[in-house]
Amino acid sequence: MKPITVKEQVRLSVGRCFGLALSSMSYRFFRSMVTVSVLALAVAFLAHMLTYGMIEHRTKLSAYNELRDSRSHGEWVTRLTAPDPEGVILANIALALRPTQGDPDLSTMLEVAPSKSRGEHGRGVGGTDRTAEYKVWSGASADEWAEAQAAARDVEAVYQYFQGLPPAAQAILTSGMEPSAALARLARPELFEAFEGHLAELRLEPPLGDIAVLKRLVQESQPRLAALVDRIQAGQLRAIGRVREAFGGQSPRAILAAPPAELVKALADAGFHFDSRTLDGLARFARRDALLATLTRGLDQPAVKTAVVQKIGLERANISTSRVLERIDSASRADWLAGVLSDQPQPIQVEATEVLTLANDLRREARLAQAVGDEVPDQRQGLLAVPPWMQWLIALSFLVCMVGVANAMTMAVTERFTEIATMKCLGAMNGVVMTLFLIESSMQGLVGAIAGLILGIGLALVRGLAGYGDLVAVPGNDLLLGSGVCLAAGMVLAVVAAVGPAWMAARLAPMEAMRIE
Amino acid sequence: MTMNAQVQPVAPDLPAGQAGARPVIIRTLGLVKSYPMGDKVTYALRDVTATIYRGEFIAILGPSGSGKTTFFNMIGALDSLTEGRVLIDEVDVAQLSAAELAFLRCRKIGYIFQSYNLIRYMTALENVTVPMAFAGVAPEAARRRGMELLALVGLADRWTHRPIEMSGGQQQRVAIARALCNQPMVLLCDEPTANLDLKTGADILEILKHLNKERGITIVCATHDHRLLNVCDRMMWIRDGRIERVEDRANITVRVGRIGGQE
Repeated sequence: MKPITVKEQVRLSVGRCFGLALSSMSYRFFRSMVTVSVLALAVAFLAHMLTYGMIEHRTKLSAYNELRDSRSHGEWVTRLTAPDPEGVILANIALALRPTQGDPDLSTMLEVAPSKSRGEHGRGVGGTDRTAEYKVWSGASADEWAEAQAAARDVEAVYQYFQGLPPAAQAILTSGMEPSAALARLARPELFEAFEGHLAELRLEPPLGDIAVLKRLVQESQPRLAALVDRIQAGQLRAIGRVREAFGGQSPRAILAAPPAELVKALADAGFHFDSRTLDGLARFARRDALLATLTRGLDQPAVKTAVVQKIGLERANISTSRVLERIDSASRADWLAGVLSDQPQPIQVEATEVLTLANDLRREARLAQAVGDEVPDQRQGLLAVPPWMQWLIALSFLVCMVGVANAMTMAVTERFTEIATMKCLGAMNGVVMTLFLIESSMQGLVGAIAGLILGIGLALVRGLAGYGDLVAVPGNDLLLGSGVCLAAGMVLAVVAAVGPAWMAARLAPMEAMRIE
Repeated sequence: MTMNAQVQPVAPDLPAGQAGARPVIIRTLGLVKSYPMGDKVTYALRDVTATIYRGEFIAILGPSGSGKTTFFNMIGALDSLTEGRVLIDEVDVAQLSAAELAFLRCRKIGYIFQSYNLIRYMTALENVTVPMAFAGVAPEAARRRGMELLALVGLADRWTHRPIEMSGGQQQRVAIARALCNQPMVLLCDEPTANLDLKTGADILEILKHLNKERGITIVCATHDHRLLNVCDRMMWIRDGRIERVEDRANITVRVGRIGGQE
């Protein structure tokens, strides 16, 4: 009888393992499908949140940028009407930290972001640094300017200090006044002493950390800052006067309709600091303003009002240019309005096509503004530009996806411990067992992740279309990157979650593995 | 105990006159298997020293929980042991590498379990060919040999069936075919007939007897089934994790006959 000679078990090639894995997967198709579906759902959730976040951001961003000219026009009207308010000037001085250069969009992003409430007013048109104008208008020296900047920052810090207090403490310390007024009061020594007393009673840290620093601010720096702000406002008023003079005393809207070259010259002469590119798109707003004025004049006539009531069905009291234009949505209606206006005793001539274009533009702008919402979108692209709350949601969905995938795969593997034990009884090497599970889980992970991606991105697109219609903007590269992340997350997690428990079972003696339940 | 056993060349329970005459295939020396249960320790096997000879059909008898299955797992190199040694053809199992253990389980020992342990999503033929796949046999050759073995156990026409589509007896026969596919030298059976009816159980025993007599395969069979006593050469009783006694069948023919008559 021949003796038992023990040799090393042969090691199977990956190809043979692949064949084994495939033959078993084909029959376990239904069970695999359950696992794959859970996996797909988890990945779909992540992909949806990720994709929708990026689509929404890109849509808002492109809508915001499309509205740039309209915004720029509005800002110029404001700038040419009256000097900037004190708060805006202070914020601008305090914020003027970074040099503005290069892409005006980028500078808008960088500088608007820290103070969104003031952003639209605080920054100049197209993100130009308003402090350059302020320096010219105030005639401040470099030292004076540096001191003003430090003071402005301190003042902002004190405002924030007041706003961050509990309501009761805030009421006591500010005597119920606005922060700026409360700070100005402290210049009077007796009120400052009272303030100190209140602080001690409330056991609060003084603003700026040191009462002496605060005292110096309110008694020395702040009055000088206020004087500087006054000089700036006076300078801006003079500048506005010079621009108006150059155009014969016209209204700001009329001035902005002037040929760009003349406008640039007049504004630069008056000391305005701006990027001349931002003026390029303004001419059409001037034409639009003129047309709007004409239409308003026409719609004031009783006969026109009657015609509008009959044709469009608006109540007489509700007739206004914007409401009528809202309802001019076809060429025939535009023709009709032009006809009605020219039929009057004092005929008013308007081009029907221009009226229709104006109505369409206004409608689109209204939709764009609605799409943008209240927040100024981050000008960057990709995941980091998505608003923080959305980033949280995405992080959360990543967590949910992780747990979902890991759970599905772990369940699928732990119920096969007996099978692993049996295979080991029959002479399977640990490597073979692991290879089988690696192949199977990576295939399941791949199929699940791809299905999830299609589902998640599809849903996000549908949701984007439903929410924004034809305004929806899809960031192709970002989506590709996001898909890659989802795919990798799904697959890697699936493999790790399957191979981990499989290794736990495979490294044990067969009967020990069989006992784990 | 272990030291003492190493000194002795053959198992202590072997009569001196037969030591050279009967070649040993599996020996255990002072086997202990215990499970820690809280602060107490439960013993499944206490100091079991046994010898199994080449070519014999040995039945391991004993009540439930006596340690039969544990002993079976130990001599099959399927479970870790607490103390003692298992020598398969004088090779200590503890000294084998993972690859050598896999080789041993794959080609030298065939296992038959009480609960069949077929892989449930594979057909009968696929189940039979699994160990051959692990042994690196080419798929075509494995299929051919698998069909031969299924024919041997009388299931040639059911090779496409999955375990859930087969009766217990049929599943157990597939398990036997699977155990035989790499021509093992030892067949370990853990209560092979426990889940089967009388007739099917008898069929299985017939197959085992045939394998033992015609092919000279050593068969170790843990069982409750007293019909096995008609088939086996020796009997070993285990109780409370210890070997109670070992008898040649020749010495207890009368009792076997009586039990057989009762059935």
